[in-house]
Amino acid sequence: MSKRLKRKSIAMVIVELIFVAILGVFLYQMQVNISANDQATELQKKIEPLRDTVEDAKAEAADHTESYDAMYRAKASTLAFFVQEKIGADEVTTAVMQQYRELLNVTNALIVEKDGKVVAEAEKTGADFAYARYNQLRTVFASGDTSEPFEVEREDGTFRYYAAEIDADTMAVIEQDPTELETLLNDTVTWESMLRNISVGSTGYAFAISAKDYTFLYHPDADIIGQDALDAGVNVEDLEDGNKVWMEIYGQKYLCSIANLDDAYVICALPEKEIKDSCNVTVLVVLLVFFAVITLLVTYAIFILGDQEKRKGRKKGVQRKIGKVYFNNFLGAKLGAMIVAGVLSVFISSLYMQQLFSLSSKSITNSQHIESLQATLEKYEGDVKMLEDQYDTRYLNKCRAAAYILEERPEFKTREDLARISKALDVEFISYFDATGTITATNSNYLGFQLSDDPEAQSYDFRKLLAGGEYVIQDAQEDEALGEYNQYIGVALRDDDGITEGFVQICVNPEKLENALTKLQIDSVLDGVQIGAKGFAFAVNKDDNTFAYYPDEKYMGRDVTEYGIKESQIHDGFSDYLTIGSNKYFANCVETDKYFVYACVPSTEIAAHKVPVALLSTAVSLACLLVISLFLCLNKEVAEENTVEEPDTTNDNETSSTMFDVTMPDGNTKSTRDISSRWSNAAIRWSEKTPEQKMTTVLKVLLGIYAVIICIAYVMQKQNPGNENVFSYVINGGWERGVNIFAATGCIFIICIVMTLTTIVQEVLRVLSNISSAQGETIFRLVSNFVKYASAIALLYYCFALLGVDTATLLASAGLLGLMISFGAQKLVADVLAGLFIIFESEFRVGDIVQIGDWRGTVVEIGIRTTKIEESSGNMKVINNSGISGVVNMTRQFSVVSRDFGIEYGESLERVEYILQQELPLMKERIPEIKKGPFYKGVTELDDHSMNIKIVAQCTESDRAQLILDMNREMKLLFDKYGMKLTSQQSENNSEE
Amino acid sequence: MKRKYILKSLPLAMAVVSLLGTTPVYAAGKTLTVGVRGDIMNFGYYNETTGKFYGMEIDLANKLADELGYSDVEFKQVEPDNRKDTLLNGDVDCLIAAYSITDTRLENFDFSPAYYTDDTKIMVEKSSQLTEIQDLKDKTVGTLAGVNAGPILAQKLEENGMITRVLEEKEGDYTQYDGIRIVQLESYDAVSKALEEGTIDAACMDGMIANAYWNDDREYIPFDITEQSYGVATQKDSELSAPMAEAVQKFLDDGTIAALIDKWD
Repeated sequence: MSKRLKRKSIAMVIVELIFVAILGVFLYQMQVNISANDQATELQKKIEPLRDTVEDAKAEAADHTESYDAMYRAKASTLAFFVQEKIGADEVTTAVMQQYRELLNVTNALIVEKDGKVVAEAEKTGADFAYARYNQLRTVFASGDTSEPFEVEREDGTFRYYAAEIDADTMAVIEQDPTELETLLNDTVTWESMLRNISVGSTGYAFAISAKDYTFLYHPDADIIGQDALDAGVNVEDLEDGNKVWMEIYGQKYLCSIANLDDAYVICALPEKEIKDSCNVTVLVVLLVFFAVITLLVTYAIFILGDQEKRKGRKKGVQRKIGKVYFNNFLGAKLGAMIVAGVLSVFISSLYMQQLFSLSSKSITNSQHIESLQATLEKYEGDVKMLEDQYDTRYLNKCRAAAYILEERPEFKTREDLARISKALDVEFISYFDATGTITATNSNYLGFQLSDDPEAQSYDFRKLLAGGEYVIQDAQEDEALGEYNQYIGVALRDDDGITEGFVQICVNPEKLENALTKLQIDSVLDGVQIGAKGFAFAVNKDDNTFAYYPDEKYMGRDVTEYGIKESQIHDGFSDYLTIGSNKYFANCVETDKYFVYACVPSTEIAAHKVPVALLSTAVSLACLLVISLFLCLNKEVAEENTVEEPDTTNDNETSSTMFDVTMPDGNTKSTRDISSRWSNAAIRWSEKTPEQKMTTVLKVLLGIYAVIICIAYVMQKQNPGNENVFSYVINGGWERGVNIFAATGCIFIICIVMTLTTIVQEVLRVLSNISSAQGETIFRLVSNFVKYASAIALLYYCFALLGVDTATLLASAGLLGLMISFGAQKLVADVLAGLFIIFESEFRVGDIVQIGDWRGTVVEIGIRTTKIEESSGNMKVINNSGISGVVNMTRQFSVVSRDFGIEYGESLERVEYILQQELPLMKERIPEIKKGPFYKGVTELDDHSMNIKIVAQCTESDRAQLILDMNREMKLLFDKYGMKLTSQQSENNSEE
Repeated sequence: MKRKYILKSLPLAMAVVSLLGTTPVYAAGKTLTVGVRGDIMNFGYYNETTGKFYGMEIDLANKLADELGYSDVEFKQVEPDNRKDTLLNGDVDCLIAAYSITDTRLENFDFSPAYYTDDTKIMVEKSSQLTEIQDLKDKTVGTLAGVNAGPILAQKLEENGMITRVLEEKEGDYTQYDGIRIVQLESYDAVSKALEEGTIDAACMDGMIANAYWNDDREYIPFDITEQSYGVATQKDSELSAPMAEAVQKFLDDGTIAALIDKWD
């Protein structure tokens, strides 16, 4: 390599690094900008539906509160009724009030006069009802109805107050600890319940800051709730409705969108890290590809230039003068082809990475989303039970109160009185059944109704009460008699001896419970779920594969397969594209007790900026490549013509030893490797390699570097398992096996790694074999050979598995094995087995001289399938192992050349023997190849015309062929010298000692 | 900062610069001590965990100090009870503490132009069924001790003809007028708590404070009591008075104060 070229290469490496840096910065900026813009819009879309969420939650809270209050207002009016009718006692004492309190199951029951004086109370109250604060209670005197509830927070606790008028001067007051209501509300309308299911990107979240005191009302980290937001780094200026802004919270930067709702700022925050990470991965991969391309380009160009210097003069006319500089035509053409390939690969890898990245992040987001949905659904299943129990308790309490009244005042079993009680208890109607199960008093239309004997009938349940049961709570159902949706509750009445004398049944309208329950149904859970800008969630019934919920109502209840979803796509953990109707979605699935819940995003939403980004990065890399190619191709002067430097002559000689030019069928001249060196164990020396071979080495090195990067990334990933990103997603294999981008990526990873490992193992084996015995070398070569095949087969198998081919069956029966056999793999198996036996039985080793059939030569390699033997003339024979039989192993220290020479009977044998005795030692001196001998062995044959004598000599195998010729010549000269005649009879036999 | 170095190293230039009016002599390199409130969210609010003050008045104080050429600002929390004395004693250079401009106060202090105007509001519990000012007759109204909301309310009610301004008795924490009792409580929290428990029937507070204590169960009684104008108070005829007034006026004119109010709204 000339100094000029060295300078040029160093300059080029620097330029290359600069270009990689430029492209990196450029791509990164562009990507960050685009993603930040994208994400900001996305966040905006995400925060809008929150307004509805808050509205819904408020409505739900109002519902809960209303139903809670309705119950306690009914209790207040029941209490008033008790006092008015003097149920259970004529005088209201503390004891009586305590009894009422038990019956009504309230915190405190009181009777209060208009001016606030407490007449009777079950427990001492901390309230001073004279205060204007309690004026609300006094409204009962004007309205005649129960009072609107209100809550007072005092030293002794928080209480909710309800009142009902007893008479013009007194009222019944219920003082209730509202913990139960608060618990219920906490589950539905707290910021936590509203915000915890909102996922922002994959690591972002929604939180709320009070607009009053700037504390965190909700944050996924429970420790932060209640902390000061200004303290955390939030800027007050930023907190404006509809704002999109970068915020720093506890030192981490987030892209936030803000909505001012209900005295609070709700903020969807996406960590900067996530936005950048997304860019990092894409940019990194594109950069790696670009780096590979530009490195190959530069090294190739330098190798070619070096080669050109070496072959100076051999290729004329490669330089063309353009102005003052020279353009290297030959190099230009080669580089042009490389640029096209390189730019194409940058384009493809850019597209590919963006697709991969957005799909994986969508998948991660989707799965997080449905996991939270799953949690919600599971929680709601518990809530349904809880809510039903709660309502049952409430209704049972009403029924007990009714039973109590009728026990105390049996005379109230009239239509009018029962109607009054119904009103006080706030139930539809009350019926009294006597001991025979017949309604004897009711304010409904069922008078005379008798309990059914049919176990199937609705009323049969209540027979239990007559048989000693204490109470019956029926589920709400269609009334068999009326066709209305009602719920019946019954409580047995006992006489003083405990004998059942009948039971009281109340009928309630379960509308409130139904309302509350519908909120917990799957549709209300999935309705309004927003995944990204246009994504949504839907559910499929497990039993019959119909849509249990879909945003478009016309789909609900229909069979999913009608709309293009395949059976194979309905399973837990599904994560791939699916088609619904004519739209393609990327979906993830999770299984719950009753449903398969899917989160899906329209395919059009995925990486919308793919093409522009890819085009831009391609354009930039094209520019870089062009510039660098121009640098490489242009020369100030034609260096070759005038250089003093002579290429190393020994170099040239060595080049010709293994490398030489062949003419390809299309007329091109290519350098190729000499046959004898192809299987030889020695690596070609770097300087002997053609530029193409050097490139291959560079490519292998790059591949190795990438494999190392992948391995390092893998190890790092394993050490922080919590960190979910595109890489971990591909590695953890949470994606669908099939022909998709993840499988392809997985294949690339594994190919990269396995190929590198194979190369390394082979290299190691080669080095080992160099320092080992012949037996060792045979084994190492075999192992190397084996590694090659094994890795290829393993790769094939693994990649097939990733691509969703059922490898088990493929291997087992109809698949690979069947194919192998049917395509003549039997022969292959035979070859492999034969190969193994050759080695284990030590028939011959690498380096042995063997004769197989009529082919004699040195064993170069024993492969798993073939054996290669080099003939003394340098030709290479490749024999299938199964075809190796009748091996003659002639490996000795020396080969023996044995020649028979025919002598006429007329010659004196004694003379001949005498001459030979004199001359043979001289012959040895003339032919230095002879190691031992030549010896005269005697007469081998006496045939019709001549007697044959045998001369043998020992030499090395490589000299054997020549020695035969030399000996023939020497013998002829010898016989001529002594005037003897040789007959034509001569034969060669070298198998004898 | 650069300006300060120059001033330190070049005493001669100091006079020139101060003549130009950019940095007065009294401010150079000194710390402005400001009396602020610590209990009014969005105005002057002290966060115990950080030991810092937040709010519109805090931001204003910082900007004023910057404008006047002070190098640093120190905040001292003042209460309505003690803020007058704090300034008179010179413990603080000025008060930016929701201190309303009144004639009596003008006798003792200099005030800047008003940077914020607020209404005094009367807040009641909805459950008390009190909806108009007449309903407050013979009721108890709570105010914060040390503020002038109580006397002003009494005065207004008298003008309204609801009460006669006869001081029947004044005992410790309350003043009984003929027709209304006004209770003075030690903190806004206490006022709010008393209102919740019913020991007072209505609370009379400055609008911005009332807003902080407002909730769904409470409402305001529509009644015009007074407009309070908050100004920066400085010691009578001090050298800070005039520049402070100018600076506040400047911030009023260029919208700085409007922006601050908007920020903390």
